[in-house]
Amino acid sequence: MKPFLAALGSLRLTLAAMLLLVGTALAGYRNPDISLDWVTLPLALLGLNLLSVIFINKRFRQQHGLLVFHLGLLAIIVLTGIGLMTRLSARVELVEGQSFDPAEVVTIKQGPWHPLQLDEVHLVQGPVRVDYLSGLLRDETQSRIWTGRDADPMDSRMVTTREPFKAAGYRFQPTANKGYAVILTWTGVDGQTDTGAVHMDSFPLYEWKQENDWVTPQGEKLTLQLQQPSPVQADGPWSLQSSDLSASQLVIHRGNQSIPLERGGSVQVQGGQLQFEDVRLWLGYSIEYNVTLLWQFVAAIIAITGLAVHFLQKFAQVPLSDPARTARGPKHRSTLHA
Amino acid sequence: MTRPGPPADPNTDLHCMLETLCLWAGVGSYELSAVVLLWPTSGDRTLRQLPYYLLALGVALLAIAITVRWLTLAQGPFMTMYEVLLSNAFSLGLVTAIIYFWIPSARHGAVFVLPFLCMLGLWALTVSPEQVPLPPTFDNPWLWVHVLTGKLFLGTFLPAVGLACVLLFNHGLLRMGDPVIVYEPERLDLLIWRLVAVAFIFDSFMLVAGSVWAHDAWGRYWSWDPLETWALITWLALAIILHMRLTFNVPKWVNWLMLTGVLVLAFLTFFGVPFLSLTPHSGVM
Repeated sequence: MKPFLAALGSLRLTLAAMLLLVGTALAGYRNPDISLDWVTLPLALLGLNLLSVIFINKRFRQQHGLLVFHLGLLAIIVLTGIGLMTRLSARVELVEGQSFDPAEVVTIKQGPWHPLQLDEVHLVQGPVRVDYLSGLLRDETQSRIWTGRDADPMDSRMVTTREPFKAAGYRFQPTANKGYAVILTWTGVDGQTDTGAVHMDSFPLYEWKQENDWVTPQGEKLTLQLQQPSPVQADGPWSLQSSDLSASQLVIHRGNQSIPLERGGSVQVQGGQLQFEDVRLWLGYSIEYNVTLLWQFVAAIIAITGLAVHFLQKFAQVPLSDPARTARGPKHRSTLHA
Repeated sequence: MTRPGPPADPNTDLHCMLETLCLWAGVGSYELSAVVLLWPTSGDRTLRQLPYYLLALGVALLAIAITVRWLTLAQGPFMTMYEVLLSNAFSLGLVTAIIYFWIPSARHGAVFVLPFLCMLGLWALTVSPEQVPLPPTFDNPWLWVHVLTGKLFLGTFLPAVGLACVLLFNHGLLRMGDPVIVYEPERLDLLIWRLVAVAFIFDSFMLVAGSVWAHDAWGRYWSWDPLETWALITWLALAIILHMRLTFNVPKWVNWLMLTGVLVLAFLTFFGVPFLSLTPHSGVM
């Protein structure tokens, strides 16, 4: 057992694992999709290597600062592993007035041990306002939300990029992704009505392309084009908000036919009627779940402190008295100008 | 030099002029310090001290240039290549000057360090000083910690590599049978590793602070953007060298050569990646 641990705890293996980590980091640089999965291999190897060193190397254990540094690194590795297994990285788009529905969440990455509890999150999207500085540089995003059930005004709060909404371990942070959504009501020939939103492309990034396709319940494809949205002002401060959308007009392209609609206007299409209700803003949120982040930070600070203590102790053992400063002169004449 | 951005304002124009003047004077002071250092001199003590006083003068002038720009634009020098170069020419000069006045033996490396600082300064003169506003969402205290520790890392590491280059240079001469005696090489080697140790601590803290800043600013503590990846590789390269020194009986010249390689890596990380992508972390800006 001991020879195995000695081999596992060798510094040569440390170096090999570090080089492997460099390799996977480079792979991650080339292809971000595979990086996080592949770094677990050298990280696991480094973790095992470190555990073995701590177990078999008494001299290593006696250097307390160095030990604390490496235990901190080990903790970071373990916590990173737990974080990867339990994480959720996702996104969602919410229209003003819409309740958050976990079914609309688009998952980007999800760890196999993630305790999916998005249904514990209650939020209703309120008014959104995105401020821009001169030159269309995005400033603060202000998103009013209601976090209680039934949009209780008592539970309202403002969410910004710097102050995201946190609930049930999830972190909802507004992203740069936002735009217009047209609210439509479909009334079938049977009298059944259904109201929903069609999101236009991100605004003002795709200011020139404010349209999207929508297929009616009868299977007819319609192209919805939003006209006269809020004019963008690049030469000064400007805000994107839904209160500026009163002049908006919806144009429905149906085959060769273009039908302009004002708010409240409707059009008969195959199998029913489509009514243009409103224009609102939608806001994109990134959703992150990682319960280990705070502990990773604590472990990192402890590790760095341990390393600093270790080096200070080492420095104290062999004082670096500087003869060039204290002595009368150098023992050897320097060829350089000191 | 012209500065696009804020409208013409007599005060702003005056500030721009002062900033430009201090930048040119500061870089000129750096150049002069390198020239005086490399100029063959007699053993006159005052003349031997002159490069370091010129370095200090250059640091002071660059500090004025940065302060003026900061006050004019109401934001720190974080965004453009010009600001990265200007702030690094200042901060690396400052840390180097402190080390050189505190540990005079470290001045052996000045023959490599001062030309390096000159190069940074000259580069700053060639880059457009345009303004790119810092997104307010990115302005949180961790940005300051991140940038400060990054500059302390490079500022401490640069004099170490300067010494390593000097020792490497002399080693080469020794091997060619033309021995040049450097002032107590063993002590200089010890000094190198102490500076590297301190630099490694700052580098570690820079990565941690950067992660916290990124998490607060754009919601991800690590996203493998080019700057993050190369910063991690730089940290790993330093860790590998520190471990190799313990593990293998690596000849000292190999260690010095590897440290020089890490400086090249760090240089590309600090100045190459932002140069290619125009602003640091441009993927999220």
